[in-house]
Amino acid sequence: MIQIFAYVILGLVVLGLLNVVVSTYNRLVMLRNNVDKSFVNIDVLLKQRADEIPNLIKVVKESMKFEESMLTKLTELRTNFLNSNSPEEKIELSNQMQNQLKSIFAVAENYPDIKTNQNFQLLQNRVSQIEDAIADRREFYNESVTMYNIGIAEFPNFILAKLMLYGRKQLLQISEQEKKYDGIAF
Amino acid sequence: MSEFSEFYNNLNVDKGLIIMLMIMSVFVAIFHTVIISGLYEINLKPKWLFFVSNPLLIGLCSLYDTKLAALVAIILFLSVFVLGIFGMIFSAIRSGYQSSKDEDARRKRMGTTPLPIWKKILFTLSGLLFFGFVLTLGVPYFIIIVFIILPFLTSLKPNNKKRFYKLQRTLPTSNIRSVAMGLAEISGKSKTIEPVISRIGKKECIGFLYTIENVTTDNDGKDSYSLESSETICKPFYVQDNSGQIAVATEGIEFIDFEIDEQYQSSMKRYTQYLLKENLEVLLIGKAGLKENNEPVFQKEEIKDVFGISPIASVENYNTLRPILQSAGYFVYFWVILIALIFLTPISLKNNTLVFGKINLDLPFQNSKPVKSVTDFYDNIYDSYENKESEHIENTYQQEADSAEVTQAPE
Repeated sequence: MIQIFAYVILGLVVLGLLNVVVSTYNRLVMLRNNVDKSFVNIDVLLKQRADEIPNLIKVVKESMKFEESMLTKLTELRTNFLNSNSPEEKIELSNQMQNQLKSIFAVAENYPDIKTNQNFQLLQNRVSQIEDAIADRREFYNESVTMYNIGIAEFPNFILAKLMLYGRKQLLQISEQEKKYDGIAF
Repeated sequence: MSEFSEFYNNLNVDKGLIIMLMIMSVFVAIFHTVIISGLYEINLKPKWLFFVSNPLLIGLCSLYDTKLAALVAIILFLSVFVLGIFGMIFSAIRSGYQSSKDEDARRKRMGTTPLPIWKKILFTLSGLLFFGFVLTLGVPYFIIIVFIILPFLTSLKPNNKKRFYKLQRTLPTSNIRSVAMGLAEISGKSKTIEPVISRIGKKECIGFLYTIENVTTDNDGKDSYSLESSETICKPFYVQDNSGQIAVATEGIEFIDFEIDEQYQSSMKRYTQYLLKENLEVLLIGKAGLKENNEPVFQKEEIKDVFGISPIASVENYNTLRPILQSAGYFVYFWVILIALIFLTPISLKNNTLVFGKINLDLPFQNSKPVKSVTDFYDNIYDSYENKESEHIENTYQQEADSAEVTQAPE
């Protein structure tokens, strides 16, 4: 009877190990997909922000005739962003768009008719909301990447991760331009 | 029939054996009680029925004829297997029916058509065929598969709670204002939209889980509990974090590891209540979607079949304990494998020295004969060990015979 018992134990151990391998594999696949999904979710918001640009330009174009170069630059950036396929390029263009939008909102302060325009205020709020959501999603992306990087380094996951050729992923870095702080000028 | 008469007439039973059989029947009563209340879900009254009826039956029969008493004892012993097998079939059919109902309800929620009747019949037939196939393998394999392997596999089957804890280790927590549509994890404080009144104590809350358990007391006075019914009542509510709030559509939500709010025991039943209160820090896993009016809502994730809410403290507790339990699991695995290998290794003592043989990896029962009676079953188990010895003896004789010189008999 001991022999049967031993076989049953070994069988159950094998089944248990199989279960560990399958669930580890599934977890790694899910972690990787989370990273991809969270990156695409940032992209969705970047696209939403880019979609608001034509409306914004329509509202401010008449009043900001003297700043036409600024608006043209923003339109160009938007076109390039929509035509771009590489994630790195998209991020770069998106950062440039963000700076350009900030400049437009800053310059608009000098134009009282724009400042009081209800459509402009709505657009400004909308863009601001999207900016906040983008910041959240960047944070979420970094969290997904961190969980993935920890997931592939944990024992016994790293054995399977090596076999699946899963490598570390990079966190989204804040550009030097974004980090730059010029202080408050009075 | 003549075989039975022969067997019955040859029974040699004395008073000592009758007492022994009566004691054994008390142990058999444990199985009877567990099978009847566990598999058939019959509420035995009184609980100790079999503990009295089994020895009593043997005792009464012995007053008439001691052979009859022995026969009754054998029948009681065999009835455990018969009741167990039919109980499992009954239990499997009942749980299959329940799963089918749950699946229909899930499909209805998702807006898809229910599973056609022919598919349900096909699944049932496949189950019965599998059961029949396992039976044809012989009693030893049947016992191993049905009593050990299937329960083990069933324990691996995922449920909402397991999926919840597994996903919370994989999903990052989203800020509510920017939660992306689809499977998501959010956390924050619960905020009432419309309160409900709890079952025990009539307390105002967002929702509650109310369970009724049957209490069974064993001979040592230890209580064990089996779930009789569970009810989750929860109204829609908001979850609020630093970034915003989202409405939760509570249909299909499961309360996971909440602290007991109220509990009492009465008439062999235990009543427990868990409350979802205002401002409780909770973690939810489900799907972020949109209502008809384009308002975001958090609801059940139908594809992954997960929707749970748990206090943050319970999740943190789980995450703290998990690595310890995992390490303990690996430790147990290591020792279990080692013990199994020791069992499979022939060890003998020769000249005060332990001699380890080769690990025996032959499958048992390979030469089993068809099982037509209980005797065949025990013969098979007996043969599985005896064969090795007899093979060894046969081989020795063969070697001796081969090495022996053939001599001509004198004329």
